Amino acid sequence: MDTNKLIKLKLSPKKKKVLSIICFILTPVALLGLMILVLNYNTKIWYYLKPKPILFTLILLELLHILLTSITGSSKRSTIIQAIFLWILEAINKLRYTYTYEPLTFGDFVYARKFC
Amino acid sequence: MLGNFAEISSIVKGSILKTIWSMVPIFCFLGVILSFLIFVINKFNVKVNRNFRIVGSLIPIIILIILFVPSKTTKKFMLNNIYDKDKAKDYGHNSRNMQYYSEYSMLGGMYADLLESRIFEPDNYNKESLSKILKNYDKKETENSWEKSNIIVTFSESFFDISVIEDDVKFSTPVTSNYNKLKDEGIFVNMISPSYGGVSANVEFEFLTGYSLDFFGKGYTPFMTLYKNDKYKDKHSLVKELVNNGYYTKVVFGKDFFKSKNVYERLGISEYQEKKDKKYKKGYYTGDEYLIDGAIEALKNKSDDEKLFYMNCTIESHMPFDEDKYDEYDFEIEESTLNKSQTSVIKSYAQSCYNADKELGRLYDFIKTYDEPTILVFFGDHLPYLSDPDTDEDIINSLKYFNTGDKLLDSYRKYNTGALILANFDLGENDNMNYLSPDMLLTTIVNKMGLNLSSYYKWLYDNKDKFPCSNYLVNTDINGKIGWTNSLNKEQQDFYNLKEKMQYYVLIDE
Repeated sequence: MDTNKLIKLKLSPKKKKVLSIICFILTPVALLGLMILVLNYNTKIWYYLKPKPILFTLILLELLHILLTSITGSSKRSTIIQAIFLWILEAINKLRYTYTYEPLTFGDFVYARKFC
Repeated sequence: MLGNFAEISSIVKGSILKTIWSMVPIFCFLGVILSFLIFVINKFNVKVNRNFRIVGSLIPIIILIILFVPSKTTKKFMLNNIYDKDKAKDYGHNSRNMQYYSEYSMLGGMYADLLESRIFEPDNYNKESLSKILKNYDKKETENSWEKSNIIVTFSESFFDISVIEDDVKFSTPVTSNYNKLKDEGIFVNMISPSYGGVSANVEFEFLTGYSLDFFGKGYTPFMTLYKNDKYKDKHSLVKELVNNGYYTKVVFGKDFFKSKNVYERLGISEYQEKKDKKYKKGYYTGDEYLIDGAIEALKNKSDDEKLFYMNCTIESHMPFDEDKYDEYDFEIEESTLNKSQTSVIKSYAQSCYNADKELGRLYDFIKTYDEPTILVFFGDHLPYLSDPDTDEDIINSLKYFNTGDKLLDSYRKYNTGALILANFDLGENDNMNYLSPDMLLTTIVNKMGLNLSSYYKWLYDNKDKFPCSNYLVNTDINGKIGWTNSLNKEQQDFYNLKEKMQYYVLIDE
C-alpha cells in the first residue's frame, strides 16, 4: 500500500502503535538489505547468503537500533544516524577496496591487536 | 584517521577524484532509499520515555560488550556455531577477508574478521622458559656453508609451473622451460604458500620476517594491521638482520597493491621503490623484463664494500587474465578439455608464466657472469585466481591436476609453489632443503651464509627439520609426506606448539 494513502487513513492509536513497533523492527532489516545489496562487491551474493550469519548480523543491527533509539529518544533519530554511518562506511570501504582489493575490517579502526 | 585506511594519504589526487566520482550513482541510490526509509519512520516514530531509555541502553551495551570483548570462548563459540568456519569449502576465494565479507555482508563479515584476527596468548605460555631457550643460541655460530653473497630475489606474482596441467591443456612450446631446466642446476624447494589466489603481502611477510601465518587467524594480513601499530616497528625481521650484516636492502614493486612503503620501513628496508611507468607495461601492468633490468643494473652499479639484497615483486602475471592481455603470444594451445573462454584465460596466464620464465633465464645468465658471489632466489608467491569469465568460477576446479579425488593432495596442490635457489658458486649438497614454507626460505639462506643473526633465527633454523613446511591447512615433513595441519603427529604437534609460543614471545610479547 502506498505510504501516503496509509497515512491518510485514520488509524486508531493502538493500530498506529502496532505499526510503529513493526516499523521499528523492520528498520534494521531494511538497512541489512541495503548493506547486502549496495556494499557487497561479489555479484553472486544469493549463493553465499547463509541464514545463521545473516540472522546474527540482523540481531547485531537490532541491538544497535535499540541502543541508538534509547540514547537519542526516538527511532527516527536512530535511523538517521545509522543512515549517515552507512554512507560513511560505504565511502571508506569503496576507497579501501579500490586501492587494496580488500574490504574494510575492524582492524582498520582499532590498532592494538592484543585487545581486538 | 584516514591515513590508516590502506595509506589513503599516499594516493594521488586524481585517483581519489575518480573514485569519488564513481561513487556518485551508488550514493544517489542510497540517498533515495534512505530518505524513503526515514520518511516512513517519521510517520511511525517510536518515542522512548526517560525511564525506558536507561534500561534500553544498558541491555544492548551489555550484550555488545560480551560479543566484542576478547575472549577465547566467545571467539570459538561464534566461529563454530554462527560462521561454520570448518565447513567452508570454497578456498577459491582470493582472500579470507573478502570471503567473509561477501558471505556475511559488511557488518557480519567485519565481525567475523575481528574474531579471526584476535591474537591470544598461547596455552601454557611461559615467557621465562622461552627466553632461556633463545639464550642458549646467543653465542651459537651459524652454519656458514655458503659464501656471504648478494641476494637477488624474484618474488614472482602468481607463478606456478603451468605445464603440470598437461592432461587438460597442451601448449605448442614448453612454457616454463628455464624453470624446469634450472631445477637440476640449483636447489629446488617445494613450498606451501600461506595464500591462494591473492594476498601476496602475507607471503612477503613470511619470507621477510621468518614468522608464520599459521599462528594468526585466517583473515589476518599483518601488513595491513600488525605493522600499523608503532609497537611492532622494532621487532625482528630478516631485512634488519641483513642490514646489520652490511647489506644494502632494496625492494621494487611493479605495483604495490598493499601500499606497503611504511611497512617496509618498519621491516628495516634501505630503499623502497614502485615502478609503475606506463611505457614499460606488458599486459596490464609493469612487465617483468623492466624489473629484471633494474636488478641487473643494481648489481652493475653496487659499491664493492657492501652486499646487496634486491627483491623484485613482479606484477605482470597478476589477474585479470584474458586473451586481450597480450597482443602477441609465443605459443599456441594445441589441445584443451576446457571450453573456449576458460582456455583463453589459461593461455593468457601461461603467457605471463612464459615471460617470467624467460626473465628468470636472462637474470641467471647475467648472474653466472657476475664476479661477486651472488644467489638468485626465484619463487611464485601463490597460485593464480583463474576466474572463468562466463561463470566467475575458479577454473582450477575444472582441472584434473587439482581434482584427483584425494582431498589432501588436492588441497596441497592449491598451495604448492616452487622456489629455485641458484648461485654463481657451488652450493654443495643440500638434501634438507626440498620442502620449506616461505618463512623458512630466507631464514635458511641467511643461516647457511653464516651471517651474524639474532637467536630467534638461529633457533628456527636449528629446528627447521621438525616442521619445515606448512600453512594453516596442509604441511609436509622433511621427506615431502603431506598431512593436514590440524592432525599432526605428537612430535610435530609439540614443535608446532613451541613454535607458536616462540613466535608470540618474539613478535608480540618480547
